[in-house]
Amino acid sequence: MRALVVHAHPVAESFNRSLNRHVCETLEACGHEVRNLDLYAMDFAPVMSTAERLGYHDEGTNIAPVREHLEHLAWCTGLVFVYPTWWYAQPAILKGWLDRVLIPHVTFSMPVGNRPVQPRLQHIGCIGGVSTYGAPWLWTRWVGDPGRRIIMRGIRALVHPRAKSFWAAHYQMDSSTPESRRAFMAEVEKKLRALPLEVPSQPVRMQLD
Amino acid sequence: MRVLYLYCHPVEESFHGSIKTAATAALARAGHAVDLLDLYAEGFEPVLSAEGRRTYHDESVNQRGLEDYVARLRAAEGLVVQFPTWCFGPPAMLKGFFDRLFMPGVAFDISDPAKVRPLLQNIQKVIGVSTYGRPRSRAFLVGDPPRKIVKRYLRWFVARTASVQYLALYHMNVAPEAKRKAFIAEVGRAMERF
Repeated sequence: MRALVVHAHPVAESFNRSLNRHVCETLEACGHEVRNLDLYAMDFAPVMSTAERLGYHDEGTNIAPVREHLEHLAWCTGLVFVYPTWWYAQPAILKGWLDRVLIPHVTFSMPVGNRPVQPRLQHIGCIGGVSTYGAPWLWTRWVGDPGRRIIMRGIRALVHPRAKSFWAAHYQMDSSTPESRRAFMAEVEKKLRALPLEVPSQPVRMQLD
Repeated sequence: MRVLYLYCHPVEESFHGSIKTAATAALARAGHAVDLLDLYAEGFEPVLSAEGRRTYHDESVNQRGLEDYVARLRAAEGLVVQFPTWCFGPPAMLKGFFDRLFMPGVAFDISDPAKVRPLLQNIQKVIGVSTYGRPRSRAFLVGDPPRKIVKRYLRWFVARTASVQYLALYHMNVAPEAKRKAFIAEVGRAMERF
């Protein structure tokens, strides 16, 4: 597959940055094509501005502010997120990427009459995430694991109906050990190696011109 | 009561702008002192920087540059959080407020990692107000993050006896004018009883 790996962690020497490298290298070693979007490195602006919000629903012109990112989305057949879970969800810089890039008419259609929202990312046949959590598993469940569900249920509904999916979580990072981190790296690698080279994919429906 | 009104929407003349105007007026009528924290208007920077992340656990420096927001959080006796639901959750702007402000020494005490304690017990009441483009059934399938963020995540930080209320308007994509007006009235009534 063509994998778009979207990463968000501010600190170069962090474990999360190592995870991002590990994900990219493992996917490449398996024979997938990889593009790595490091949102901090590219200084991505996550705040949807007033002008952008006012034009959010305008078919055609709402593409301009995030064209580069939509082109990456149209290119990929697999979408993988690597980020720390801060307060149960994506860091602001990644939440803003979702807010700004997953725009109507391009990634989904707006409801018409009784016809609800229709997905437009069926060319993507794999969706997954690798995340580190400060909170323990039980607390994360209690709050509903919003970060994982936004990706694995919300965005999952926009991609191919038979898309492969995976999620890898390291809880309680503050009390992690070299062993727990090594074991997690191995778990991530195993999940990535289990992905098929060819994922289910339909013709690209996103229209960027 | 001194109420911190945490507001997140980029468009002043939007439906959210109307809700905010009605809600803050209702709070004032009920005799509360409202501190409006309009994240967009104040140009809040939601991205936790590399420097901010490195010093996040160091209570001697982690509030640097955020002193004003910390003081307002600590002065609050009540908290209102109003935001639209974008991509199934709060907008990046609001998420970044939690990322940056809910730090050790401000929102929680982690001096004993085995027993982390909440620190915003000055807050006696919380009301969350949000709108969703899509129907409640869809929000439910995704676990309704905005509702849980108010009712479960925020609840942990505030006073144990605090009441936490959540007001939501679902399916805004097709909501008729009457339904929108009724929601503004409902929010207003809740604020008058704050």
